[in-house]
Amino acid sequence: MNYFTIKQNYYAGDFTQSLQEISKFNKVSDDTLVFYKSQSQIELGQFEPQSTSTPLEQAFAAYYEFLQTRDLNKLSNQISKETGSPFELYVLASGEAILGQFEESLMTCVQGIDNDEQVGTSELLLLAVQVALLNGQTSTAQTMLQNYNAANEDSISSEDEIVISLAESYVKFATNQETARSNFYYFEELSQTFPTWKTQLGLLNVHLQLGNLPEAQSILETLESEYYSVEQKQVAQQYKQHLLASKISLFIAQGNEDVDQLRQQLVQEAPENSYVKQHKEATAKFDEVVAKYSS
Amino acid sequence: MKMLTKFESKSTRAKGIAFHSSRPWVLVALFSSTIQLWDYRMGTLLHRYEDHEGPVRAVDFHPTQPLFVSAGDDYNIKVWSLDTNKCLYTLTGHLDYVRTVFFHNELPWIISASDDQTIRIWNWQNRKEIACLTGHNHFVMSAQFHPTEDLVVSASLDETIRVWDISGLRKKHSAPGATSLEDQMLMQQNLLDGGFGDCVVKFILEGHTRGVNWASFHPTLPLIVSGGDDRQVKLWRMSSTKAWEVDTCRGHTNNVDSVIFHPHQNLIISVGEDKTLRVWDLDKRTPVKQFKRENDRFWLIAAHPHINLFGAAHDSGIMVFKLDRERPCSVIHQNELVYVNKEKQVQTFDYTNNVSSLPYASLKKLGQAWNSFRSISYNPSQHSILVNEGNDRFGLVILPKRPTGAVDPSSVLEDAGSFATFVARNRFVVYNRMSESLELRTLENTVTKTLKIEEPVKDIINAGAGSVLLLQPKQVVLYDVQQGKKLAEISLKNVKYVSWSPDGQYAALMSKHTITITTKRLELINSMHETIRIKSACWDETGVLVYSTLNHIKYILLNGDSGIIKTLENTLYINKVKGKFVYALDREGEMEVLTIDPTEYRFKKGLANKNFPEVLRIIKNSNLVGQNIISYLQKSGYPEVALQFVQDPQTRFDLALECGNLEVGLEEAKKLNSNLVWDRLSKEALVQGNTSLVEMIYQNQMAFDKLSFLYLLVGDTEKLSKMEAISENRGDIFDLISDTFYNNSTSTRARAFAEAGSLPLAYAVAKTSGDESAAASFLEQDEFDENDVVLPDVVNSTPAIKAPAISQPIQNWPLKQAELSFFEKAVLNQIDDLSLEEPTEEETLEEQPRAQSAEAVFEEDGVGEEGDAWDLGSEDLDIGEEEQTEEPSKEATVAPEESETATWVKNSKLPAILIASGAFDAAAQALNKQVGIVNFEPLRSKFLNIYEGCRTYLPSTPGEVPSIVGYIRADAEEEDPTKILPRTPDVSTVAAQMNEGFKFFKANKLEPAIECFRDAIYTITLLAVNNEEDERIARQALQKAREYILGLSIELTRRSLPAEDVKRNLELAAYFTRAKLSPAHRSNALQVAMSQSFKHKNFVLASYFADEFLKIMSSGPRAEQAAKVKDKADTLAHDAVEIDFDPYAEFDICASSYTPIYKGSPSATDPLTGAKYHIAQEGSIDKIALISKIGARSSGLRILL
Repeated sequence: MNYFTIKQNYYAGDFTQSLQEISKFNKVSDDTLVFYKSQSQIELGQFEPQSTSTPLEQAFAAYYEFLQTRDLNKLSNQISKETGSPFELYVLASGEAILGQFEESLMTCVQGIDNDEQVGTSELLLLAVQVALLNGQTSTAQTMLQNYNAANEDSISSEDEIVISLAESYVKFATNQETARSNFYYFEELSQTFPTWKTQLGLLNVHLQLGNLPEAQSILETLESEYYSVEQKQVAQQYKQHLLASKISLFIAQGNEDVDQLRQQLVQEAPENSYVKQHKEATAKFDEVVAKYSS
Repeated sequence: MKMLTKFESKSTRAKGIAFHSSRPWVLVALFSSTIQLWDYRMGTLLHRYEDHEGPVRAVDFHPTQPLFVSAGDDYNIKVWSLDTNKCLYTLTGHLDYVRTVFFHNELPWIISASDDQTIRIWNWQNRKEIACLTGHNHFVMSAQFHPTEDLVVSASLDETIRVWDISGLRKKHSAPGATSLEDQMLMQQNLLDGGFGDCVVKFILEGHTRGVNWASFHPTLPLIVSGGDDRQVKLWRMSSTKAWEVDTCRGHTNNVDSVIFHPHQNLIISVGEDKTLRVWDLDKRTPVKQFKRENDRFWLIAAHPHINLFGAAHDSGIMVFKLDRERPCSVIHQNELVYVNKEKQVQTFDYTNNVSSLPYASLKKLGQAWNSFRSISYNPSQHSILVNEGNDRFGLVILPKRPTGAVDPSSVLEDAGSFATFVARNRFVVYNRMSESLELRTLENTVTKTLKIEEPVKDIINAGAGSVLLLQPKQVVLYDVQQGKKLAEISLKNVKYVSWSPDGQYAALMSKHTITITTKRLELINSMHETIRIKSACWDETGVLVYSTLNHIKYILLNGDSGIIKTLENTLYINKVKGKFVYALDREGEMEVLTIDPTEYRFKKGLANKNFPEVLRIIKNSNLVGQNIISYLQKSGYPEVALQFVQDPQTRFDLALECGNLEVGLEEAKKLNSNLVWDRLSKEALVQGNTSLVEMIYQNQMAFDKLSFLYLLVGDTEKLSKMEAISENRGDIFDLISDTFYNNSTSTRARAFAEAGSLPLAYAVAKTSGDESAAASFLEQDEFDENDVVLPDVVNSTPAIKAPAISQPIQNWPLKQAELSFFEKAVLNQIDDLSLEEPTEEETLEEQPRAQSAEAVFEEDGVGEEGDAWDLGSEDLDIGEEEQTEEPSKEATVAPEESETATWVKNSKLPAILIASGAFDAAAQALNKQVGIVNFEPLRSKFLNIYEGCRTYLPSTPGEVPSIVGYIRADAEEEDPTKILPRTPDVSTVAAQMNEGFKFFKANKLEPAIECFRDAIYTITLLAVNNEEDERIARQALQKAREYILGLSIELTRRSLPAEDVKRNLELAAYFTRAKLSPAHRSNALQVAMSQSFKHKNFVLASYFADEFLKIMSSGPRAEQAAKVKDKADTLAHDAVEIDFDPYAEFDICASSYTPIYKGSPSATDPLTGAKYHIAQEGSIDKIALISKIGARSSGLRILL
């Protein structure tokens, strides 16, 4: 089966279109379809647990529950690290990553990638790369990617290539490689072909890395325009925290004094955001400095 | 047209001129019968040849042999030797004036044209005439060989030009065995037949309507150009079978006497009796340039065979000139050279990879065809260049982002004006010759400021940070364009070029023959003269100036030492020196990379800077030897260094003594072994107190008297007595007597006298020393009675010699300390950590671009007359502020390796970088140590902004997973891992904050103004800049911010005073004037002080403040008012309130109590802001920035990466 358009839309962040593409396969169902369908629904905040469920569907149901409760127990009980399929392990690893258990998450991913089952390994690799980056293991991320490419040199299908390219761009973003060249063009092309919240934010981030402030500003304005913020309200809600985080970087670079207001807003709205975590750490460190010298 | 005249000679009428092919020589044929040989480079007359009778009309050098040929009105052709300067022989045959004469390029032939209507060809080797070409029926005015083919072209007053085929002649004269009788007879026959057969007329070109004076072949194309008395220049084309007229160039207003093709360019150059020299476009036959002499008719034009030089003979001499500049325009930006090639295309050269780019654009359409550009200036932020077209016009050309080929630039803005030069990211200056003023213009070419310049300006050179060097005929002026004033000047004539050192500290000012090195403030460091023209100069990374003359690359050090590095075959224009590589553009506009040996100048520089490890390293690792360097070292006072080079014992001995090295001295003395040498060594050893060496030498030399005296000096009594015994044994009475004196051995002395036959002396000695028996025996021997002898009174028994006060002889008694020099220690391995290995190939030194690219300038313009928010009572206060902030064009970043933040910290430990990396505690420690910061709270947002400003977060997939952090680098494209740094605020931020503060000041919003200045201080405290210029700007801003905060705080305090506190009010108003505000702002303070003083009847002070005010602002309503106040105050001339302010005393103002700290009273300084406080305030928090501890121990703020 050809999942190319599904994946293309999913990874570009057009989840509605992705769901539509999945619905074209209404007669059949397999793990890949379930995976993308569930993921897209979650991204859109429209997840519906299935009544007659496969193990993967059950895993997603548990995962959905986890997203509300942040209690990983049920999910980890349900999915076996030894026998779970790559997609199931993906769900588990996501949960672990969300809780900040990066080491465990990475182990889970590796388990799945080494699995005999091929379906879902590229997705799992993408997750593994991100988890490694979140854990500060940039060289691990690079090595995993290289190994995967080397092992599957001739057999990477075009639909997998979408996934691998995204993984590569994450690595380049985190390590400042090719920032002004291929990584920039990757995001630029993506955002032109699929102008979605996700791709626009990607390009915005690269512009920020390049110090292209006017360009970054204009993307920000685009995302705050009616088309993105009102007409796609639901998606906008999902991405708002990311927009705020980028906006903070931009405002600092521009010397805009409203940056504190944005910080407060982000802390309130998305206390789990990576930015907020780092901000809190930085503030705490600064408090220590102040205390140390005033005593 | 202005020609680039290289040489002119004054003489009687010159009819002929010829260039030597390799030496800088011209021959001049004079109407007066003389031939002159000039060195046109040095401007000297080398020789005069006088053998012709009557006018000489033609001369020509042989292309390779040391020969030349001349001819004239005496019908003779003479061949001369350049070796002997003698006429070798004369070729006779012509029956009338000979008009022209030329050598053949390869065959041993000479061609001559004569009024006898013939052209003759001669073999100069066998001195025979080999052909006589007849056919013209009037004077033949010129005849020349074709440069490559067997053709001759001749011009005649019969109005025709003839092209002759002489291939037959060549065949005959190069065929072997052509000297048979038959051949000779045939040759004779030919001659009689007028060369028929050998030389045949190929074409007769008719078209001129009067006599033709000149005809020349094109060097490569089948073209002929001719000129005649019909005042026309005609162009002709030939094929193998026919020839025809192509076109006519009209313009000359009198006879055209000579015309040639330009050797390399598609141009025709003609001269005539209308006193003009004209240049024509060969393709379009249109006039290109014209040059006119006032009184002299031109007679001949000649081109140098290889170099782009021309010579013209005229009524009062000759001139050697260039038609156009050959110096390719170029400008350095960071590690690239932007330059314009011969085709007027803009290219760049990358010094790192040693490659030239493709052209960015073609500037063919700019300026005039055939006129090269004068100079260019580059703006990296706009990626544009200013092109000075050389005709009082300039063009602003925006270059494409990438070099794709010689395309027309998309945006070109042309306008009148000279020497356009960028002075800031968005400003450039242009000199307007008409109004003799400098115009500051925006990128849109709008004039924002016009500055009148007194003397004429010959060129403008960027001098960094909004200033320029104005090159004027008699001086060079450093001019601040923003303030519109001279900053410095130096009297120097005709400076043409300037080279700044990479760090901007020094400038090399070049005129034709002089290089003057100055500081950046134009203070003279040294100056040197060159006999050959100076072409270009460039500083190497160690501060040595490497320059090129017409034929050499040389160097000069800051101390004036200079030397030759390399000889050049072709003139080069140096633009960069990096290690042993010299980068230079040649006249074709191509980059050449030359390898030089920098050892000599590095050595001299090492010496001059006393960098002895470097010097020693060079000695060890290179073969820098020679009498030259030794005498240089001696002259410069480094005999010990010279010692390292020398083998010859005598020289080594001399040098050793010069530097007091006894060991080497002894070693060499042993080899030389002459008395003179030993003498000198012993003297040196004596002064150094090395007695054992002295002793050894004296012993060897058998210098017993000296030896005894030495023992006496050092108190060695034991040896002295031995010496006495030795003297006695030797029977040397004189030495023995001295020894007895040294030893005080009177009996020996008495005995010695007695033995030497001087019994009276023996008696006297014995008697005075109390040895009565001996005395008696001497008397007896002399048969005297004691009563007969009367001893002189002065002789008494008191022993003059005292026993030595020391028990041991003195071993070491130096009068001069001879310390081991660095070199000796090094040679003796006494220096630790001395590496004598050649350093591995140096890293590329990143040059900081001067000015332009990275500058943040806050402009404080003059004082305006409106928009005043300051309430100064009735006065009108007015501050014109036009703030501009120029952002440095900065980018930045890096390649991967471990963690990003660790890389940052590895590359810099500046607080800003530590903060960006999240190492807040380390940053705080550094700040505390550097500038005593203890109150960090005010810096909270700065810390967080720096930390968060270099991070950005990319949403993950799936979106629920935490987002991925990406790092923002200072330069996203930086690939060198050692230069990877985070993006942090730069000086433009500081400038923006300062300007904001100025705005508030202007609006009389003092509290917010103070906040802005304080914010600027915080930014500067946490700044990381990558060049000294930015650092300077930042530090200046810090001082400025301090002064503004201080001044404004004083003023705020004054305003909050109760009305009755007049004294304090007046004091604070007076102190406010002491803050070092910019003049426009200080005028406000002065006006406040003036009006307050006047109001409260402190007239003397009011007058003083009015006076100060008028110094800043001399016209306008405010000035008028001040003048009135002054006049009025001066008539009243008394102070009603006594205040603590002496306008003429030196004092600081305590930033806490706002009271004066007079010179000498104890005070404390804040380590961050530099604000002064009464000593009582030490330990409190600084009132200016509120973060540092007054008087804290500190190492000083560090912000330079």
